[in-house]
Amino acid sequence: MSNLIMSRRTLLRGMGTAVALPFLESMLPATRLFGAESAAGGKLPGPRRVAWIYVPNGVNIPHWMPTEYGSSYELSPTLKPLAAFRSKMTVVSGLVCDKANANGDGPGDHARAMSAYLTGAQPRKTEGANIKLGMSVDQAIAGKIGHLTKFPSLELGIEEGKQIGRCDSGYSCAYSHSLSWRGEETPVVKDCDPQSVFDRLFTSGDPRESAEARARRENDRKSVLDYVLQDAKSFQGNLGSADKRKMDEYLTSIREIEIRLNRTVVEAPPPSGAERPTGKPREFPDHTKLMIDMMVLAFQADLTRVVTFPFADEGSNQKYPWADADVPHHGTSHHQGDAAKLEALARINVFHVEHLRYLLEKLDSIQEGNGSILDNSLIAYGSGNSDGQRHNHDNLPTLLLGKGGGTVTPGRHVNYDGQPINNLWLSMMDRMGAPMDRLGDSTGRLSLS
Amino acid sequence: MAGCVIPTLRAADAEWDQFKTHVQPFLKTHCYECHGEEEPENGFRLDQYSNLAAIVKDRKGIEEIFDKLSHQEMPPKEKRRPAPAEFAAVMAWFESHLQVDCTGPRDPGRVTLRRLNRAEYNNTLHDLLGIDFRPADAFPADVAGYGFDNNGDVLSMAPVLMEKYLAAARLSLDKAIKTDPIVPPPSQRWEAATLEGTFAKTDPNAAVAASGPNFGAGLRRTSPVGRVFPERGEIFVDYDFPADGEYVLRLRAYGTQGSANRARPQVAFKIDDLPMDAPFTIKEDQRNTSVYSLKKVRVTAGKHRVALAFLNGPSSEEVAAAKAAAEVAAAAAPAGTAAPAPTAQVAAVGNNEDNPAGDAPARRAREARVVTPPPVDDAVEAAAEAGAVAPKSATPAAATPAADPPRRPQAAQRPAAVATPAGSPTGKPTLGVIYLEAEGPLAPTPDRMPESYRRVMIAQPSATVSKPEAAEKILRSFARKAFRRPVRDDELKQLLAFWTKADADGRSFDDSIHLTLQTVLASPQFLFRVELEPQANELDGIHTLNDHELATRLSYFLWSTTPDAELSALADAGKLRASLATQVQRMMKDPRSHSLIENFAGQWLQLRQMQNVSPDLKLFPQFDQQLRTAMTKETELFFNAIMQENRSVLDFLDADFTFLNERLAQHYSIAGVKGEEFRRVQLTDQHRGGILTHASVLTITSYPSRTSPVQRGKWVLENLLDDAPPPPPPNVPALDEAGKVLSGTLRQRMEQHRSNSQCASCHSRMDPIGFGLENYDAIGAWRTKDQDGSEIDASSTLPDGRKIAGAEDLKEILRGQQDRFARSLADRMLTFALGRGLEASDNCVVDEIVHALKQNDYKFSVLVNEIVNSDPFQKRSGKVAKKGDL
Repeated sequence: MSNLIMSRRTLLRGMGTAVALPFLESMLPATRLFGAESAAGGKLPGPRRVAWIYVPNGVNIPHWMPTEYGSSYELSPTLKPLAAFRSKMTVVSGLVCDKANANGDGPGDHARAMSAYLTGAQPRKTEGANIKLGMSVDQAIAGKIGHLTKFPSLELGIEEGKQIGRCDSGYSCAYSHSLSWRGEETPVVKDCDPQSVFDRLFTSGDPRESAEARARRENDRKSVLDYVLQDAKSFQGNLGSADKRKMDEYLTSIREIEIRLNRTVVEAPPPSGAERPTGKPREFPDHTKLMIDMMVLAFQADLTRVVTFPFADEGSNQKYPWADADVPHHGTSHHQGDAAKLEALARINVFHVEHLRYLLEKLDSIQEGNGSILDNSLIAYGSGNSDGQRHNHDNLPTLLLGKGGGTVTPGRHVNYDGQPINNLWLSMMDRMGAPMDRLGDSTGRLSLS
Repeated sequence: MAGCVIPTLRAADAEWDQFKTHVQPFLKTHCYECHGEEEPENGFRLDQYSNLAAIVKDRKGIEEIFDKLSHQEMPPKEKRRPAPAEFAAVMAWFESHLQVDCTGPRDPGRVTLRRLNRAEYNNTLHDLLGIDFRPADAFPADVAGYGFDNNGDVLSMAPVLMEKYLAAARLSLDKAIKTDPIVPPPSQRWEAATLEGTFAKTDPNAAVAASGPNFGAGLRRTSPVGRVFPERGEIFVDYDFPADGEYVLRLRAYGTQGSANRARPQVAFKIDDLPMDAPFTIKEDQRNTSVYSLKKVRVTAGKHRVALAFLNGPSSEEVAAAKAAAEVAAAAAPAGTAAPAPTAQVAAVGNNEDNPAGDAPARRAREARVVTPPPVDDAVEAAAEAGAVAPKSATPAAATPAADPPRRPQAAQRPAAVATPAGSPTGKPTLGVIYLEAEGPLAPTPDRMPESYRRVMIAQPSATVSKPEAAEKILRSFARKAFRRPVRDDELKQLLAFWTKADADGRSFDDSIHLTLQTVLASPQFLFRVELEPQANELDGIHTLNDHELATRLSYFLWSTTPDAELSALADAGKLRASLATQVQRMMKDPRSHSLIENFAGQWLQLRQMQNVSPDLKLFPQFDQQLRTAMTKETELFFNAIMQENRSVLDFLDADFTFLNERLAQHYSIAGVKGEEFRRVQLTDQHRGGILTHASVLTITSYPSRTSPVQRGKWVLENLLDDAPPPPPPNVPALDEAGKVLSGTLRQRMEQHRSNSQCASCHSRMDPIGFGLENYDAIGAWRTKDQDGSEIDASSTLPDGRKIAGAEDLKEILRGQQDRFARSLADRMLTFALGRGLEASDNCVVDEIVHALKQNDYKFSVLVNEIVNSDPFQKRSGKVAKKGDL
């Protein structure tokens, strides 16, 4: 940790204030900030990216957690597939998502784990009316640096609409479906269709469409948006407050698309070799790999720098026959100590980790300056539930992948015993150039180096 | 939920006094520590009820406290428990306070602006545009609230969804109006043989009888003859062109090249004697007649003479000379070999759909064939390639036997003998024409377009209708339907202004409308079901919905789609309320009411879950896609029967009929049902009847590998008895941590589980119901033995001590709970109809619906009518803040 930071923190502590100052790049010594790769003194070329990959239902903790700390720890069985990336990975243990705890609200740990994970906020228990949570870290970053890319953020997913009717114990399905929250009342819809993601990224419904036709279409779209925006404003006055909130969502959506259309002067063509997916694959592995491909494309073409991607909704009962676990995930996560269930759960965990490896391999294979996209990224991987049986939300299984442009020191297993996971998010925000004083229940920052 | 209560005049003062004496001290002792002024836990402050008004205002908060206390979730278990007497007094106050007074003015509640969900969007677009296109299937899934995915509060809008709306608007309008005509342009065809010409008509009888040469032995098709041109000249027809516009002129023809200079026949179309386009060459012989089209020509409406000119045939003089030469030759020939008039009808095996002739005449014709003498004079010049009209010299050659009168200036009235286009003795090319055709006007006229086009493009610019007039007509009508209410003049003006710009860009009329309609389909007025306050800022009043809003609620409730023309017309006329009952009846009979099955029953009974269940195929190898579909279908048809036959809703609980096909009947071990199609089956098997015994419900409530009495019990309580057990209390020690290992059969393990008092209170309600259904396995088949071979024991004891032996007893008990069931169903359907969660104030309405059902044999239609006529459905409260907003 840098002395400079030390001294400021020490100073503040000495004054008895709990205010956490935003991390500023200027407060870090150049070597830390720019990384060893840029000895010349320039910033590591290429933008930084951040992503969250969410594992529902907790994990088999003994299989997951390495038992030693520091840089010479032995990889746990679950993390073995990541051996090649050891030097670019930080295993983080001890973090807590307290707002996923009941805190007086009774059961509903799955809905809470998903919704509190990136927000650090306690979801209000309701099936519909008065949904209330908080802004999630990805959206907070997107709000600050989103203007730099075509899409402020991308919300990807695999599973949608599997839960019919009621979701988790009196919590609206919005909670157990949504990692990303634009604001207290607005979950962000995730896109689970790789073709749709591709088309949005590259603004082309059809690759055979001529440039003029596309330009004409985009132009038409602008004029349609202009019109409806004016139109919508005109009837806002006659609505009640809950209705106004809905109209705000509408207007925000329109504006966001408008801003994007105006910002994008030249549409980026898909990187060479990129193929437009055709629809949603039926099988989980194909589907997941395609979504990961889309994430990589978006990073590669710098169309966004912020991505969230849950493997499934919380409480998902996806089966994993490809991992010799043809059993419903959620049911299995309530292992009741049963050895067979624990092993099946571990296999599911490994299976997910292998998909993470697929992402890492791709990101690491794309050169950017002296490094790779992975070197410029910070990818958090983990779950808001620790042990699916206990539904506990402390000692969360968490990985941080990538070097954040040289702002973290990977290759270690660190234990931030009892600190809110939002402290990790806050530290990631700093490194994305989107610092905030506080996010949800954060109490400070983690050094990560 | 607390029932509606006989009005009691509560003295507000007394209530407040009791609160102060019993409740406030209790809250102070047990709650303020965490839920007080300082950093209240989870934002709940219980120290703010400083007068009765504060309590009345925050009903939801009071309900929450009551809920936590009654389920003993609060105070937390590590804190001191309140004394029983103290607790009882507090609970009594809550119970009395929370009872709803149904005598005073009712609060109809307030529905939040609802975005169309996926099903509604697809249906609405279908009705609006008349296209079969389901773009919303690719939209992100809609989140459900209160059990249904049409809840205004949780249906949110997001950029990714908005992008999809924009794309869907464009694509569906493409499909609706940027489409090819489905009816080809009108066309008129004239058989050439019947047309007037500058020479005699061919004798049609002779033509049919004439034979062709035996070109290709295996081919037995006859070839067309049509009109054989004996000489150059024209055939023509006077045609009344139906409209201004572009037309295509066509002919089907054949010919031979002239022997003299190998020129092929050249023809040209003329209209009113003006040549159209360059002449073209007829390349095919009679075997291969071909269709030639003139490039499009513009023609004005009205009578014009359409003519086809044969440009390079022999002149009549040449024909006469050739004929004379032939006669000379014939006279010189030995008798018997002389051909009769050499009607050298060259025929062959051309494609002849235009002029079919039987094989027999063709054969006869072949036999009668006379070989035409070869052309004599090689020096004869054919018409120039460029289509020059006459040869420079006319050299007589062999006779053209067909030539009847050598030449006539106008049409010959007598039938001509069949001429020979097989090679003219004059050495000139010959021509045969099967037909002429005029097709057009080519521009697609609305009547030729598909229904979708005609539905949207209800006006076209014309001589009498200006473009803006046509646009206005279209926009007004479309926006009326899309916004589900008449369009205001200022709105129309804006739309027209947009259209004017689009039009000024040089788009076609269709394109400019297309773009303008995209704005309509992207408008919040379309995407949301808007219910405006009658007056801005009049936020506290209760008002009755206007007819358009009511029509919209009605059609989305019963049809999941936009109001149809009849509802709209009634709303426009302000007569909807007067004919509400008739309309509901009509709507229930309409096939669109099927959406109640998909969208209401699919969610109420969780039938949609059938798409996701995945029974363990090792244990249930008989489960497959067909069975999955059949299970779903049974319940859908059953629901449909209750709805369409207006049966008692109690039939859901038990009935003596169901719907089966062979596959499902086999699954149920019911004999005598053959074939894939479903039919109504009268049940004699006591194991089946009512939704509880439907394989769908039994599968949905099972685990993949085994039954779940808990899930089944919970399903019954939640969906049929409006008695959802509270979720398990937090921090229940996990079973393995409680210090005992559960063992034995499922039933034994469940019983051990219930020995934990914390679990017992709920499980004693759920489990016995579920055990009563144990004779049905995890995919709903009847069984008497468990997977491990042990006997199934379906007996259990309900919390009130009643014993049941199995499903039949259970059903009987449920039938005895008819009011609870009716209340549950009313609660669910009202929630669906309104698109919002029910509030305490809705209790009175639910009570009234149950009462009405009871009075009317629980008829399904009563349920629907009562909901439609209820205050929450017909009215809207103007209040701004939700009661629960803390």
